[in-house]
Amino acid sequence: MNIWVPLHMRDSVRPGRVEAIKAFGFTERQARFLVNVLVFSGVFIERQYRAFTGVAHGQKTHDFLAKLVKGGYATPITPGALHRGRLFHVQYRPLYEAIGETNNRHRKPASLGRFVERLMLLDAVMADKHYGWLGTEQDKLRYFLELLEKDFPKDWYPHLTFGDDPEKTTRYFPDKLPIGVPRHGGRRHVFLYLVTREVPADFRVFLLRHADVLKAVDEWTIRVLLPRRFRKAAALYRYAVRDAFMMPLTPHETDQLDWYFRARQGQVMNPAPDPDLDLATAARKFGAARFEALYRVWRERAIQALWAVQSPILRDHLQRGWGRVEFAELPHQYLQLTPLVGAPSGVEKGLRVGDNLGTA
Amino acid sequence: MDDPRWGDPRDRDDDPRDIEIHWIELGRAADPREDDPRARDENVRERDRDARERDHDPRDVFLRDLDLPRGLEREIVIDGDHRYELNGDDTRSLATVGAFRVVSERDLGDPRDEASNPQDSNLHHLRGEGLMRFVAVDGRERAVTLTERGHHLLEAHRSDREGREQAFYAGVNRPRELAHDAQLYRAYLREEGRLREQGADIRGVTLEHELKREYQEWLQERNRGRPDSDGRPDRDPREIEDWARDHELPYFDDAVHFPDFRVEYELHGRDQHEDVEVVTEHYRGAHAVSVARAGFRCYGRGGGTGRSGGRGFDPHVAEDFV
Repeated sequence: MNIWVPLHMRDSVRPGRVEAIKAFGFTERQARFLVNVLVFSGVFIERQYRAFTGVAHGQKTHDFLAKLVKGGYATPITPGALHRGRLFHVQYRPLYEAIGETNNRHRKPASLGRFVERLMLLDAVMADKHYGWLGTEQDKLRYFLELLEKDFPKDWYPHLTFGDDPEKTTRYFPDKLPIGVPRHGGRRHVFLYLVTREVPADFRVFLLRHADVLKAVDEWTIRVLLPRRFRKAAALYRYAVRDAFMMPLTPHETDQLDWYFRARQGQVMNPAPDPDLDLATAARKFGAARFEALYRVWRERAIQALWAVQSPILRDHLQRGWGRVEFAELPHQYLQLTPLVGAPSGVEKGLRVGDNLGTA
Repeated sequence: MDDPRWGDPRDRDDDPRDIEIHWIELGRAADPREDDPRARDENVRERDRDARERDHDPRDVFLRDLDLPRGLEREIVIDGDHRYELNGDDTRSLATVGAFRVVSERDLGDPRDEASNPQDSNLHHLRGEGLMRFVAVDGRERAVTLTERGHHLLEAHRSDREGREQAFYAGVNRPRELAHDAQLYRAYLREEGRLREQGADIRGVTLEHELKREYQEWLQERNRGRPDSDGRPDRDPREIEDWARDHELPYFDDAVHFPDFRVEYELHGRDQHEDVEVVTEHYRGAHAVSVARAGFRCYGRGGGTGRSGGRGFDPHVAEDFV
């Protein structure tokens, strides 16, 4: 039987946050849209505002955008020729403070590629109202701590740890991708993944990091979002799921891998658990992409990373339909900037910022 | 799935490890309840039930302020050290009983479920959970009221919605009036039906107790914090009459008159209310005249017989008053 999680924990766009944004003089509809932007993307384009509010291009949209820009709430960015359109970066600190997300990275400048990726995530979230969507680290952690009770060890959540004691910092759900949670009476959780590379190396790590959480929720969907330019990569992503969840490690493989990974780091002095296994043999045996991803996660979580994929639970979930993999092609143009998705990060130079406010 | 995108040669084998992939269109994702594999067998039954779910339930109004399960399946709700198993119907019953303080057991069946049997109802489950208790009304009928734990559960799970808040109560506070108070919800059902036919959107109810509490607070406002006060209010009749007018309550015979409860609703974009009084065969003489003069909408509890052989709810008793 499921644990009831209060509704206000099931959606990052919760009434208290909408009220807080309304206090800046926005209507209910505008405030709701802005909370979506603040927690899921930090940026938006006019089409998204119109789709969310159901208003046509016209005076109301113009007034809203003008208010955002003139009030200093958002910065318009014109990435290239004017006719391509603009995106709006909502960077006003008090807005983030009002929703309890003062240090949210969405407030900070980023590369155009990152902005476009976030526009895609915003589309994916706003397109599916069957679920409540969690966008921030704290919202996700609070929800799962409530759902899974305190029995689920915190280090089983996807996380990354930086630094050493006593200045160690742990970031939970480091992929920063929205998670859909059931609203009323449902069981299914949706984990979004945005494809930004042809090769699913990062996706494999994402799957492995989430293995324990997936096992703990009743039903789950991995929803892979495919920008048009990556549509041909779908097959590789499918195989990444198969590798991660349909082929659980045997206890013997777990021992061998743990030895091999430690050996790669120069940590072991003992011989391998299998007398026939030496470093060269292990490198050949475990040279596949799935093991390389496991190695990355093993460096974050040690042996726990291997135990997480030793169990056949996720395979059973997939076979019974409790686990599900979906692909969704992103149909929009995103100001013709899709080629920038997956490009190296870094703040873009030479952007035309705030260049045509008169038409806002 | 036959899709040219699956061009990988490894696909050509019928590998048992293969996984089923679903292509979806954003914005047209399936309703999560539809793809629940455990629900597939029940789809037909569920669909019928869903259709009924969409029908109106007069108890739904009391859920507005609550953040508790609303689905068909029971879920575990944690409240402090206590764990309860609740579904939407349980939540509706809890909220309704909390709103009216005491409700006749037989009024609480799911109004959309004609076959519902009070003995099988969720009330027994809620009693077992320690959230409700039964009280004998007149030897032939039982009513239910919230326990302190039931009340705490509701208060602890209020949503942070803005605007009017529905008050919830636990326990019987007027044992001698129990038979009368247990009829309030039945009167509400009739009034709710009438208002809904007019297109009203019910927002909640305020019991007499709450209206009187507000009145007393106002009366004592000037005495508050004054050590030399003798506790007697110093409001003059004119002020009291103004207060009554502001609160749209009748004032005559030097007194404000309070209904048993007030139904608050929105109609044609305006906030409105209807004051309701439950009258019994004991309402006679000056009291009856006073009720009639107050202009409250009266619903009566007469001597007619109900289906279960108990005393029925007889609207004709009210005819004397209108």
